Amino acid sequence: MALSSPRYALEDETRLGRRDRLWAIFAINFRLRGSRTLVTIFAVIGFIATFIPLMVTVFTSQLLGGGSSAALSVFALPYNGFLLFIFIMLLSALAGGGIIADDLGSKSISLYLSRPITLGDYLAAKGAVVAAILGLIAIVPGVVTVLVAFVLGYVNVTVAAEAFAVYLGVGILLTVAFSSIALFLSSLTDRSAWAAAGIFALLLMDDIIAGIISGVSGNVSWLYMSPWEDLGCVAHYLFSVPVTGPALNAAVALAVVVGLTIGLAAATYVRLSSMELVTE
Amino acid sequence: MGVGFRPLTTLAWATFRGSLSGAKGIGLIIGALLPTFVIIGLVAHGISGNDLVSAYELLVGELFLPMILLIIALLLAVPLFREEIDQQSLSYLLTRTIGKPAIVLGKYLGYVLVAYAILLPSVVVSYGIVAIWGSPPAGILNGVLPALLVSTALGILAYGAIYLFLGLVTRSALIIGLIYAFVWEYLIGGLSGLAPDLSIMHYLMSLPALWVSQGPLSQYSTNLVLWQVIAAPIIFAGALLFLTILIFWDFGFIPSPD
Amino acid sequence: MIDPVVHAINASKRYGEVLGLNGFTASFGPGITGLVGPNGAGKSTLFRVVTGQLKLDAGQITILGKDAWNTQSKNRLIGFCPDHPGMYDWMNPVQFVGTLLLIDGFAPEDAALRTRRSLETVEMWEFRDRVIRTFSKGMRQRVKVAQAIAHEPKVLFLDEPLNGMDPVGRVSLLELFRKLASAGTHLIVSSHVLHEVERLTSQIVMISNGRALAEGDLHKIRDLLDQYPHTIEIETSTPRALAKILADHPDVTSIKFSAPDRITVQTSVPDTFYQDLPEVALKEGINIMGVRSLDDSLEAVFRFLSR
Repeated sequence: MALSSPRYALEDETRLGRRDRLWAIFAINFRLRGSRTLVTIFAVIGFIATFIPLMVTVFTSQLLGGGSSAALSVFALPYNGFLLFIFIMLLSALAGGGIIADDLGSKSISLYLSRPITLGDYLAAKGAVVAAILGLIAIVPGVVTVLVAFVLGYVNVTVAAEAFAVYLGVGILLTVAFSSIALFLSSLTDRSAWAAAGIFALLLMDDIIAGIISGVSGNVSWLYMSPWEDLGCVAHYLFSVPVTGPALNAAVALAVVVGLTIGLAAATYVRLSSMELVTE
Repeated sequence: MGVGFRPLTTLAWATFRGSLSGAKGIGLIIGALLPTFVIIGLVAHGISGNDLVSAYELLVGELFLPMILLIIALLLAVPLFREEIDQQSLSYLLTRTIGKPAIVLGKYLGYVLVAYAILLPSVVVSYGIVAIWGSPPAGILNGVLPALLVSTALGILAYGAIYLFLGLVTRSALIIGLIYAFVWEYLIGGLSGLAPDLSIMHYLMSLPALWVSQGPLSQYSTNLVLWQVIAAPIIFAGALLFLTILIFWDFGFIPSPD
Repeated sequence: MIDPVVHAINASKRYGEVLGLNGFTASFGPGITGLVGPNGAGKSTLFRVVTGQLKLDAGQITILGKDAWNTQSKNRLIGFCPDHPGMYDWMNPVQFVGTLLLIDGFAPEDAALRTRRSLETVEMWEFRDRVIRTFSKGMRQRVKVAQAIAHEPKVLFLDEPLNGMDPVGRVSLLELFRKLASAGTHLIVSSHVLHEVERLTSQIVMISNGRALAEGDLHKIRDLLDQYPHTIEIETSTPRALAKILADHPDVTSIKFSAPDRITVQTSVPDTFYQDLPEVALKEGINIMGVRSLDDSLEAVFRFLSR
């Protein structure tokens, strides 16, 4: 009696590509994080707190200029004070605190990584979630203001285009940098609330310490250690804000921010790739 | 309330040890010593005299009291109930003979002990470095150390009580605590008139302003007198502890679905 | 009449939209009582209420005659082993059990002695220096049982005590529970592992949707379930001949050939059937090798009542 095994053939799989998998991670997490009450509240308040003063300033500026276009430097307002910084810190903490920590705490990171998803893709998608939420106050108010101001005739097309580009560019840099910080700190713990507190505290303390040391020593270079000061410097340069007194070098500040972003992203990758998830 | 104070002191000691266990304890101690590290750095760079004292008082007035104290109190006090509720280990305490008020007081006492152990030495060490190696002008540091020690001690009591309360009543205690610390305390404290009296930090900053005669700490604007500055945080802490006990008395520990 | 250990009258507890207990009325007698019910039936809610962790919205629950809510003195008499894994992970077992005993008011020397005794009883004394964070589920479970028995309570509430235990561990814990019961401790054990509850006790309280479905002896409950005829499997070398004879029996409602050497009979009067069967076999010369009830079990009762 001869034995023969049946012939099996795999059916053609219609698995979606890498881009769709990344989008799936992004979409689910953005919906999860972005729909939280506090995130929504602070995103809305942050938008209003940035948009209204900026709009009023642009209007006043063009009025004082005899009806001619508001100057480009006027649009640097969000980067002049601490209001935007506080909202960025709050949203980084609220949206970014649990972005990795929740997955570590629930051990669901092993569910992600047991799929055909690389660690790099996982981190990129997660970082994009935080960046997108931060962009709601780092980019959207600015570009909306520019568009509204242009439509209302407060700025000419040249200034509008420049301001739009700077808001987009600096905003993307800001969101990516702070997302990288949030991702790294969130990967250090499996408790999202602790990560959130840590993100907020470290960002604020870093800026305060930089300011104190810089003031006491008379050396503005200490301000490079604060990402907010670096980004502010780059923004002021691009918005052509006149410089009075000692100031940071925009190119160096840009290099510091980019270096910090890449460094923290790499550190997060290295940390998670060497971590072993142990249950009992 | 069990046999004498043993249940309460046992719980306080267990809370003390639990709060310092693992990486969390090390992280909190390092956080508390941040101003000290900065001071050491400044001294190493040759900063001394009036500049160093100014830096020190700025670090205390803008970093240690309004930030580090709040964050450490938050991270120590909120988990006292919140972590036990989330992990459901509160069952073990609720099924013992220890009374509910004693549970609240025992946890609070443990928190106060650990917060004092972390924060007060930090005040002393950073002051000591400035006083010994910073070549401060004579008399410039008069009253600074006792003022900071008392402010820190009062802040620990007041903020611990509110965070303990938040940890009991809401799952979002850490986030709400952060918002309270850095939105309410900053915003209200920055207003004029009687509004700052609603901020605990106003009392903590007023104490050095009343005791210290020179430097950034003495320049804090306040219309309070000494007894108000000391009494208000204590009364606030007491009131919140009482409220926490009242709520905990009727607290129902909801099980996870079986 | 013996006073019940736990007595519930119309106990109701709601949290939000969830009705944990819904007019629950039952008594738990002395000895070992099994509390059984499907997921979400209200078993954990009941345990939380009885041990004073949750306050009832309506009704009353007493334990050893004392009100369950906010009567801390009754806690000296009860031990609770919860179902959840949360413990003070940074402690080792000696610290964990010892601290809870000190919180209970025991003197340090007494607490140390009791700690050692309870950990030795659950076979965890050799791991006394390891922190609980490093323990497996089964080891954690043993430590939980240790803290529940260390103060020698009169009543022990065990919520899913066999969770995470390997087969050997289950056997040794069941043996411990029997020993405690025979020494006078009253046990109320909640478990999904029905056959193991059955091994412990035939006294059960069945709960579903927050209500008590049945309480008492398991077999008596089964007998009362008239609408579900008993199913009995008979092993015989001549199944057809036996089936032909039993077909005329007035109490047999159906017969099925379940295997070449077995028939399955349904009867609503099992006692009479069991009495008549030997006589029939002798008279007709039928060789019967085995008789087994397929649904006089907790699982069957559970299934019937929770339909």
